[in-house]
Amino acid sequence: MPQPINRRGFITTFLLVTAAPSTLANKSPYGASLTIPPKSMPDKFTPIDDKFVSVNGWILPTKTLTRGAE
Amino acid sequence: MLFDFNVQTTIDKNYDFCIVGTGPAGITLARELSTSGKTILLLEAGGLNYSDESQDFYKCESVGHDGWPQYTRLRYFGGTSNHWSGRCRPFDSSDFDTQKINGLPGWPIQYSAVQPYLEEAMNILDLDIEQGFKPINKDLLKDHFSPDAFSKSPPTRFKGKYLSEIDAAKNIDCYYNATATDLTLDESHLTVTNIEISNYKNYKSTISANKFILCLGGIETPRFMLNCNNQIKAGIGNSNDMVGRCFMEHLNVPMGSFIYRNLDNTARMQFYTDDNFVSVINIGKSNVTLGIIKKVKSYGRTKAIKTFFKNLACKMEIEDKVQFISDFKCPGMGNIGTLIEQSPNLNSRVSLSKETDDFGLSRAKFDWQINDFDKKTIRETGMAMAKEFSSAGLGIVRLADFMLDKTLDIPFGHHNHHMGTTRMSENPKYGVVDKNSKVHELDNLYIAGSSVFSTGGACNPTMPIIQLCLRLAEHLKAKS
Ligand SMILES: Cc1cc2nc3c(=O)[nH]c(=O)nc-3n(C[C@H](O)[C@H](O)[C@H](O)COP(=O)(O)OP(=O)(O)OC[C@H]3O[C@@H](n4cnc5c(N)ncnc54)[C@H](O)[C@@H]3O)c2cc1C
Repeated sequence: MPQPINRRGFITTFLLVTAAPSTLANKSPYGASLTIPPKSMPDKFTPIDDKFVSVNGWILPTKTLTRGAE
Repeated sequence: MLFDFNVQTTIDKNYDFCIVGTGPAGITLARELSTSGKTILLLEAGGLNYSDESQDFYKCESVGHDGWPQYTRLRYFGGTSNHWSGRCRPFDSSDFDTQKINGLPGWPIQYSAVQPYLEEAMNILDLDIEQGFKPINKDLLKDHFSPDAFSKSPPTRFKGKYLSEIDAAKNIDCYYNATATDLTLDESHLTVTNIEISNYKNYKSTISANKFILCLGGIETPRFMLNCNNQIKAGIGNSNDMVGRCFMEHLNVPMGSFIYRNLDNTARMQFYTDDNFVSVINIGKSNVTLGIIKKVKSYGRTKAIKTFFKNLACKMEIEDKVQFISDFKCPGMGNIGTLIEQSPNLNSRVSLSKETDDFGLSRAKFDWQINDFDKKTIRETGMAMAKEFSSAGLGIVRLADFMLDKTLDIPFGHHNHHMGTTRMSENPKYGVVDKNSKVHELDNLYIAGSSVFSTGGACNPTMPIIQLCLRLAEHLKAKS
């Protein structure tokens, strides 16, 4: 059953999805000079279960959203 | 010996075995049965090379989801092996589990019935026996997926490898340009007595044999049986209306894309769903491939322009918005491909069209359908892969909208694996052939090829086809 996500989770997700998913990757191939342009609002945010959410189809662990990418 | 039925039109022998079709199934059976010293008639509709004239007989009326069977199968000596890709993976023992799917039973035989023929099948397909089926990407995913283990045939072209052997065999008469057009039954309708053949100039001949084996492929075999309707209106072997039903393919679903956590990773990963996961959730099996697209597929100035936009878009991380200029992926990004088991389903079928070919025979009406069970397989597998890929720290997966929204249609493609249309069953109610590949209601008519698959697993069909042919040959040799 999809679980509702808490307020903190939602706000972090909201902030996080303004960055493209490749920023979740370990290392940018283009180095530190990379500038991230402003992004549009998320289209779709769907809780999958207590561990995962879908953000525009990207299946992300909820803990990544609350703690940020490690 | 090889004979061209356009030239050599008198055939006045009674043969021990008549094999129809010279694809991997027909050629394997002919070679195996020839060691018994029995006389064999091997028939091929097409010539020794491709011709549009012959290929035209494969045109179908497609009314369901299209799989382009008129172009993908080949109708000349060697059959579709003239352009198959050679990927081989054996069935698992769990593929032979007997639980019902959609109210239909699974295989009536166990894996132990085909396993003894694996090594010989590997020899026939020029696979490396010592190396076996090598698992790739070991230990990356652990919960619901295992590394896929497969082997690649060169790929073996049956015409190139076996034509001269067939020509040299004293007890094989192979006639090409000889399309099987009808079967005649005795008065009791229990035994096939004769086969009618025709060349493309409509010259016909009737030949008798003790046993007949149809090896025409998963669409043509049911079409032929349904067209044999002079003595029995519903067609031969069809008293339970099962001929042509349960057409299955392996589903190629563009589930989505992914990005590796390590952007320098360019590895291609292939995984196979675990038996436990599949049986607990009650879905079909799947083979999932994650592959990076590395190159911009263009040359010269176009390539330069595309590369410029790609680099710019990836750098600015606005690739979604610029991808209309060229279909590209940024470093570390790739697509997910699948080979998914389709369940047997009575509504997915080959029947006869009102359109006819140049012999006046009805063309195949091809109605390929997937059902809710298959949709569940697709969505559950994709979601499990996305979660596990992320949990394993490999990266993240983006699933296509239809994977998450059940109200959307699932787009899917084919793998050219035509299965299930004369399925094997213990009970004639649920299939067309028995455990020995003999048509339930006839004494001497057999079928070889993936049309006899009761379920299709998520492995490529040709090696299992060969294993089943070797088993059938042994059975027929023991019987005669
Ligand atoms: C592009 C492509 C790639 C593939 N890649 C793979 C792969 O990687 N791995 C894998 O396992 N499988 C693969 N396959 C599937 C593989 O080709 C088939 O499983 C295999 O060819 C089936 O063998 P068959 O003998 O049953 O049928 P076919 O090879 O189709 O042979 C049927 C024969 O019957 C003849 N015939 C038809 N009608 C008549 C008639 N009325 N009278 C006389 N003769 C007739 C035909 O001319 C033909 O020679 C691929 C298929 C395609 C199209």
